[in-house]
Amino acid sequence: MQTPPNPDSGALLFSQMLEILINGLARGSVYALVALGYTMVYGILGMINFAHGEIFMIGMFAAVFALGAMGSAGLVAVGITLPLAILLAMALSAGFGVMNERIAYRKLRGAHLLAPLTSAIGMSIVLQNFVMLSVTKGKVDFPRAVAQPLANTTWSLGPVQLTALQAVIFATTFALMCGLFWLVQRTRLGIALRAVAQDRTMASLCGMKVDRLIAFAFALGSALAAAAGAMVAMYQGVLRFDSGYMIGLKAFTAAILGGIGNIPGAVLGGLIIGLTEDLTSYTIKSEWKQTTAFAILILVLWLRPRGLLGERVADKV
Amino acid sequence: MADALLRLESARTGYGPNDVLHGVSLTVREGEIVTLLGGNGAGKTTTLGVLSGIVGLRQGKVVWEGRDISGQATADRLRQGLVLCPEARRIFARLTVEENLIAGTWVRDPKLNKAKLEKTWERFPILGQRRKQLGGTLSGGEQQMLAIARALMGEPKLLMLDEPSLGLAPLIVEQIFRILVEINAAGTPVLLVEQNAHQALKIAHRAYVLATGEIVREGTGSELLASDEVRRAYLGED
Ligand SMILES: Nc1ncnc2c1ncn2[C@@H]1O[C@H](COP(=O)(O)OP(=O)(O)O)[C@@H](O)[C@H]1O
Ligand SMILES: [Mg+2]
Repeated sequence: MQTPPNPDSGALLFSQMLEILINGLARGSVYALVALGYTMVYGILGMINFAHGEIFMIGMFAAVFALGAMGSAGLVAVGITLPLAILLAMALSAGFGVMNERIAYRKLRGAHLLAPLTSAIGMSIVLQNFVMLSVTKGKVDFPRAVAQPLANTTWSLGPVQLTALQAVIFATTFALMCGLFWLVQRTRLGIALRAVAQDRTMASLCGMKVDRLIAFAFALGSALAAAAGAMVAMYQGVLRFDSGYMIGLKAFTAAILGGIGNIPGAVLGGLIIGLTEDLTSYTIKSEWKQTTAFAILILVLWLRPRGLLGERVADKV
Repeated sequence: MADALLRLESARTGYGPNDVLHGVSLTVREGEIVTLLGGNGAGKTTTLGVLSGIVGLRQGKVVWEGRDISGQATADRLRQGLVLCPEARRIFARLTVEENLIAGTWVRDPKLNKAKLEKTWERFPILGQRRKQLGGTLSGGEQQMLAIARALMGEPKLLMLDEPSLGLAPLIVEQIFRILVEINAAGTPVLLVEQNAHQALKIAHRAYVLATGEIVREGTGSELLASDEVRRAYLGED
């Protein structure tokens, strides 16, 4: 998500503010999608999935390869290939997410917190190296034929421009988030996921297959991360085996900021971090954007240790 | 005499190297309310754990409708109608009353069963009034009712309850026990674990007394209620 050159300091024009808003929200909604995966796994297991950034990265690669394969097969209509590539990336990452749970988490569920943390960091290194060694050490380009037309198509939104690429990001993230909220809040399956998150023993006394539901939570979070990966790959134009690191860290920060374990909190945290970064890039300097994002995190945690929408300990019966 | 619905035969189990249950046997027949009494740490919860499959057996077996189900998982036992309403109620505090009940239907209904919910609101009007409230906001008595209602959603052929009277005011306890009698009258056998021996014996057809992992007495409810020894040891009377 590139940022335009720093304007002179001084009052921000209305049009500039709108532009910051659009760019910041686009960036933030991607963070939010990734943050949802952190928060769901934490919500259900009470553990942080440190391999989540790599699941995101695998989604990036999967989308690019799917588009490449479809392109060489002569399938070029972006309206078909892009959604298909995103879906494929989501499915593949979901598979990796389930594998991650199986290998790095399941056996360690009752163990000390440091054990799954270490195994997840191990998993993250393994996945990075796997992609580095089996795919490439170097950078991979996102197919220009797909991204370019979307980046060049623009609509005027009052004084500012919205690119089709940004519109795709907004539409996709919005649809996925609504889908997730609906699933978690309105369906039987969502009730079961929340039941497992609250009391695993009681959930199994209701006949719920706890292992499967936990794996499902990993799959869901991973699929969302892959969708985010596909969109970031498209926006940035290049990707590499370590592309998941920074965004994973930021999305993790977003989840903490919003209150880890809380689904609307992850969305809120993602949007705040995204907006902060763009605001910093415009008003100060692009190099400072990470500093301010993390400064906000520290400030919020100082005032509200459980995050913006996090529950107080007393609320957890 | 009616056939045994559930039989626990010489159950031995424990958590560490030492056994907590030393060969516990008990039987529940169709139509009965059976109560398992005993003080703190006697092994009552462990016995229910063995029956529902949460706690593994070291020796002995669980026989359900004539078949050995000792090796079966909790979910499989549930599906056959062996439903436990656990100690300390274990309401999902951050699910609504209605969602708690839907969680209880998990093992039976592949889809949301509206008719079942309607029946619950009729039977427990207070839960109907609070259906959108979070489970954690209910009073202790309401939570116990919700726990029982949730267990009923699993359509038990045998309802097992672990100390449903714990921590509740006497009036509420009476109400809970009345509900258990109604459930039994409607055809569901009940295995009731209690420390509140006096109340439990009044509604039970038969009773067992468990002390440090062994059955030390058994008899009909009225026999044990009349027994001086039981009154002294387990009813806290002189
Ligand atoms: N999860 C457990 N781990 C270790 N020991 C346990 C566990 N649960 C119960 N015990 C021990 O087993 C014995 C019986 O406990 P329990 O079945 O809970 O008794 P009751 O329900 O009659 O109070 C007690 O000595 C208790 O300390
Ligand atoms: Mg107990």
